[in-house]
Amino acid sequence: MKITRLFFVALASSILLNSCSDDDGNSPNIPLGAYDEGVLIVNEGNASAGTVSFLDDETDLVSQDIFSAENPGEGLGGFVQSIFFDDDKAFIISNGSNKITVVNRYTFKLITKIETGFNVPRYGVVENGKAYVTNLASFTNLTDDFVSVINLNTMLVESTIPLNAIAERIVEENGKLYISNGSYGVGNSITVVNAATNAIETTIDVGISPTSMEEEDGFLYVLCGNNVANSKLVKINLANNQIISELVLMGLINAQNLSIEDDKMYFTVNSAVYAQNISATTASSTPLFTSGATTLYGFTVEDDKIYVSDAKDYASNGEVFIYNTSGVLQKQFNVGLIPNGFYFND
Amino acid sequence: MTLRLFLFFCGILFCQYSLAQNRPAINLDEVEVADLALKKYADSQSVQKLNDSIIRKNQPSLTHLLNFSTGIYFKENGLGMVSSPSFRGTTAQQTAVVWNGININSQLTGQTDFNTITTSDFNSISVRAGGGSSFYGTGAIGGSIHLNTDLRFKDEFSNRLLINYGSFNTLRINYQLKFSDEKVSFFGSISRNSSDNDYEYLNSDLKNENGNFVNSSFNIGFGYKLNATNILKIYSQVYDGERYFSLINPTDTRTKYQDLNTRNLADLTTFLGNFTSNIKVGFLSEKYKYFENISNENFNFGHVETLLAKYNLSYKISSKIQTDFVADFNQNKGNGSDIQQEKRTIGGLGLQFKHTLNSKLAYDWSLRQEITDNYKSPLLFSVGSVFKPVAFYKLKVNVSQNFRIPTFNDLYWFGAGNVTLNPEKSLQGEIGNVFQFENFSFTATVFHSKIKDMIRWLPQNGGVFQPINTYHVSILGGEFAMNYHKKIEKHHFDFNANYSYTKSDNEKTNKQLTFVPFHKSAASASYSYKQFSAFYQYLFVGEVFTQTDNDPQKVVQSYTVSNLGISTFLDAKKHFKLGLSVLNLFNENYESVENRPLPGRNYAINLNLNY
Repeated sequence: MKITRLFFVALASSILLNSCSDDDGNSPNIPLGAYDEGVLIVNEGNASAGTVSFLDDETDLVSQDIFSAENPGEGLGGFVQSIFFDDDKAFIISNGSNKITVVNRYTFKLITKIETGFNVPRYGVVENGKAYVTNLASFTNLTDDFVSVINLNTMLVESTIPLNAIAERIVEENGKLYISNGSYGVGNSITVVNAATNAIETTIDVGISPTSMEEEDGFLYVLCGNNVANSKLVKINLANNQIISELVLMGLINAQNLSIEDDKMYFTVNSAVYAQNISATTASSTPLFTSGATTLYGFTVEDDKIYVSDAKDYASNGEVFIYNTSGVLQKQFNVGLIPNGFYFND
Repeated sequence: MTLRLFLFFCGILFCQYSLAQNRPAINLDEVEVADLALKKYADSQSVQKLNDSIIRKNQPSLTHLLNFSTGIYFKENGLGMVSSPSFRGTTAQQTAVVWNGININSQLTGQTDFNTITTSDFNSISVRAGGGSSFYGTGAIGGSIHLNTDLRFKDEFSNRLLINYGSFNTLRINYQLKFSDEKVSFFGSISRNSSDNDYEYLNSDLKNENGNFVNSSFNIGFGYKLNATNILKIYSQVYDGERYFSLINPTDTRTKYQDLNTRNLADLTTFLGNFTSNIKVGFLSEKYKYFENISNENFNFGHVETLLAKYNLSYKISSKIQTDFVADFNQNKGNGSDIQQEKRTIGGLGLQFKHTLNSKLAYDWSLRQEITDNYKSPLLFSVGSVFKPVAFYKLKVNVSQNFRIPTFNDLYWFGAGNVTLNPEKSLQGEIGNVFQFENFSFTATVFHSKIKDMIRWLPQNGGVFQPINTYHVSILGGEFAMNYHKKIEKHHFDFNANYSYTKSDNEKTNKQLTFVPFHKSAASASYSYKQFSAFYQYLFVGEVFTQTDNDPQKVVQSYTVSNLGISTFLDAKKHFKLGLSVLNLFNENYESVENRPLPGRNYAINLNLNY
């Protein structure tokens, strides 16, 4: 049982949705709430509860468990996996408790809870008045995964899309949903779904397990890896869903956490952080720097800062390290149990 | 190959001593036990025997019984759910559960789930504090719990039916049958427990959802005196249970867990003058099924079958000196949805010696070496002495080296198992003081242990959890226990109390291990007068840390729980007894694992029929 739980933790993995920041011209001078202008850090937590910490950009102060502070007596549920946003709403996904808690992203006041229609939910995106959330369902069954479709007017799951493959990361672009079919080295494709019809359009074989992906200028960049093979970066042209190039990362096993910033791609292998030009045709196997994390768990690059979270032994408070793009440590602070991702309110 | 060697070795010894046979056996009317080391080599340690009447007073789970009567701490994921002990500051895998002399900790997890043992199936349960690996092998570091099926060879016949019905639709039934004469002895017990277990959480509008359980078990012992020098005993036990695992948040995925454990043992004792030879052959099997989502039929499972043989030759050199030679063989065959199919073979050789120098001083020692290609096996030993300068005082000293071997899950888990693991190794010592007066006894024990190479599942490269030998642990503690009993005409009073202090540090971080309280205390008082009896139980468990960094915000708060029971015989011949228990009398809102509340005040009535 204990072991099963450990694996649940391992599966209820890391890495955040990279395309989460929402630069939609809010007036910078009027704070929209106590948590405007800062970084939200998701702490996955344990089976009973995960939390969200907040780093205030103005004061540089860190607040822990801001959801409980704003909503006494309420909890986010166990194993908080990720957050996605719709305007000023944040959707906080708990994969252990099969629920999504909807809050105002700037005040963190509870708006509603969506508690049916999920089975180990993972990641979500919003498109045309609907939210699409991936579900792993049974851990032992790799073909029962699905996408829950939430009507954002009723805040109810109105339908599901069976994928017949693993459903993990999800990216939206131009009315299409791109769902990575990889988890812990298993699965090797991307499923393309038409959001208007909920129909699967095609499946793109990327060779080995996709670990993370990001859309940039009409291309989908998919980082793939497992525990044995050289990792690789696959570039897909979203106009025709064709793979146009593959960059093999020689000697780099199980690369994770792709984050694209200013035409540079960043990723991690264990605690080491790598960077290279997005148009490079050969890859360097020398890291940009090695982070101070004992268990690098969450990672992203935003506004010339590299954010790294450390899950440590999964049984003590985690830590966040912020570096500049040269790898020089700028800031380091404690957060909650098993920090897995960063989201930006700005 | 090792087996053949052992059998050969045993054969030689056996033949020799058979030839030396001369006198018939003598001591055949005492209780026959299968656990020889508990009877003979435990003088320098503290052994607490929980007899039938104490077992009956408690709810029939091993967790409840030991929580309210010993210093062992329990971590319970809700009432009746997975329950793990910490004995003297150690982990759940460092407490051995021994059934009729055989270590029955799971080969898969290395521990026993204390909510899968029905106590009403045993006529006595003994708790031996401190190291015992030189007798019982793996896991006997913090201490060992001994489930005994005692057989008596005298004219006896008794029938007993216990029915207990309580809150949350909890029904517990136990039937026991004993019959014996000078040649044959039989003990049989069968139990069934079930509960909706849907208690309301205090100060909350939530209740315990998906926590229902049902289990059935039996335990049988049969002894037969073949002739003046040979006794054959057969023991058998089965536990079959299904538990739904209670939810923390009402929207959590609903899961359930099934256990099926069987244990069979044949035991032949031969008395050959000053020699006593004992052969045991046993077959154990354990099987679990875990349904990660009860809305479908998918499950994970694990299954291990164990074949064991144990030979013990005892030699009484004189009335003051005795020695035992032990050779044993264990083979485990495991398979499962998450582990490779593997076979593990372990042989063991042991030597034990006890010498009573005079009425004041005695000492004993034992050695055990296990032989396997599976792990590096340290020499296991125990050295102890008892000094009794005056009639009312005993000083006990014991030093031992013990271990806990890697489990099947540790070694063979798909994609994560680590076959290079070493056992966890512990060197420990204790000093005990026992004061014994007519109506009053008091014991004070201090202990210290160092445990090396703790096996922990930690994230390795790529975030995959793997078991590795990690930090060392240093434990320092004290235990204090007292008993007072008094009989004034038909009034009987009995009072027991214990307190333990345990500091259990990760040597690398100097932090207290998680789920090990510094303080625990339990007490009970009972009173009886003619047909009437009453008892009161008290438990205090101090705060525990839930995180390895000992964040003072991340704790399970201390709690105090009391139970009260009254009962009366309904007839002069004491055949019928009716009782009422109030559990958690003061309605304490408490939990032993964060966000897993335990029930508030609840009730049970029980009926006891004896013939």
